[in-house]
Amino acid sequence: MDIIRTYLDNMFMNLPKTDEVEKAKKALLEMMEDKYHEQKEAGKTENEAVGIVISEFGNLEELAEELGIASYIRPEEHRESGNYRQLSFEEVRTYMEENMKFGAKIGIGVMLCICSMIVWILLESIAGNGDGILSNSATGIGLIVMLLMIASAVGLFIYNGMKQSSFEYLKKEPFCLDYSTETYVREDKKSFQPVFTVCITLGVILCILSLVPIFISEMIFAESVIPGAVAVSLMFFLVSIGVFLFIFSGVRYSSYQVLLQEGEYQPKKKKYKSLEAISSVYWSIMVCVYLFWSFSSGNWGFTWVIWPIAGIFYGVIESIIKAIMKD
Amino acid sequence: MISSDVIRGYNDTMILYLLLEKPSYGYEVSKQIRELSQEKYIIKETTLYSAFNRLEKNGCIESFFGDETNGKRRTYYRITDPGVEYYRDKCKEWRLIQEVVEKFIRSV
Repeated sequence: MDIIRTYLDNMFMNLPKTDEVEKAKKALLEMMEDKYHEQKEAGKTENEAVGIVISEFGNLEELAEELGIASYIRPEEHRESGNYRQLSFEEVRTYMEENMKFGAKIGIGVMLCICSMIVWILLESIAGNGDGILSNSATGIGLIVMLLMIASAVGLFIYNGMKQSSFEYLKKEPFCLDYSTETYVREDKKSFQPVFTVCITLGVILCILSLVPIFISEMIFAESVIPGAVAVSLMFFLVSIGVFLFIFSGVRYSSYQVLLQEGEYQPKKKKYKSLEAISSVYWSIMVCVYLFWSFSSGNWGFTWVIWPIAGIFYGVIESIIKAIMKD
Repeated sequence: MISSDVIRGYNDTMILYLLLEKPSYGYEVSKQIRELSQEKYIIKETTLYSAFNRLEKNGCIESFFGDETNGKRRTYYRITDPGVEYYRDKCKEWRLIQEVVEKFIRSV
């Protein structure tokens, strides 16, 4: 019901606040509420009920003359060709909800990956070096837990990736939104903006602070192994929370961009498909390099540095390719 | 599904027909139009409100506040005497249109 209220508020946002306009808004809200409640009683889901109410609402042009607001109603923008698929409000709502869940699950998956080594590191440090049964089983258990966590994470990625693929067309094909749906999405994006900023900031702070436990353990416990292992585990844990925040808020933010066709998703940019292929090859290579380097040197506390470097380097590659493709 | 452009002239008639029976409120009218037309015409909220507004301005209907539901008082409408007159005129108009247009309809 809040969605309906917001939708109506948005429609009436730029109109003069005369008595007649306010009266119209109240009457319309009343009718929409009644319809919404009846749809819910008839067994429709929240999304369905909201979708039905909004799609059967009509448009302000009909009211324009009645309320004397004709000059305020913006004429529908004309698109270049009439071949654009128009998205219904319900489709948009469904996409946004699914997207949030997707972002959360991917975030958890990545957290699992990052934290997967914690158990192994801790057990290793407690068991100490040597070939005793304790040491071997510690390694074994640690590795098993790590593989279990990575496996579940990969399972999450694949399963959710496939579920989300039904929305891939939004990124690949041109479409358009009607005026009221677009306004709704813009307003939602605006209210999400501060949340997004906070998430990113917190994430960065967590990543920076993640090094603190290591320094503390160095200072207080000097070279002893167990506190060192605990510190590294804490570092991974904090980093994983930070990354979760990045992913969750980033995925949600990009869903707005997809819908509004801004940034990366501008219609003309939907042609850069070869860039996608290059990027997936690049990152797969980076993952292999990272894992190989880390396993062979065992220096996980240092090898993570490959990621920021790879990221920056990728930015360079992307710009070069875009410059080449502009011709 | 009938488009609202085509039926524009008769929204008033439909509303007045329902109000002749008994006073009613916004959503109930919209629902009855949908049911009576057997889902062939679903009137939009904005269309309906414009019609109510116009009819009230022309004195064909008047609004009043009904009983409380969920703590809010609903706006009800009832038909007036001028409204009944207007309704009769619209019915006559429709019969005339039917007669005339029918002469131009045939199967192809």
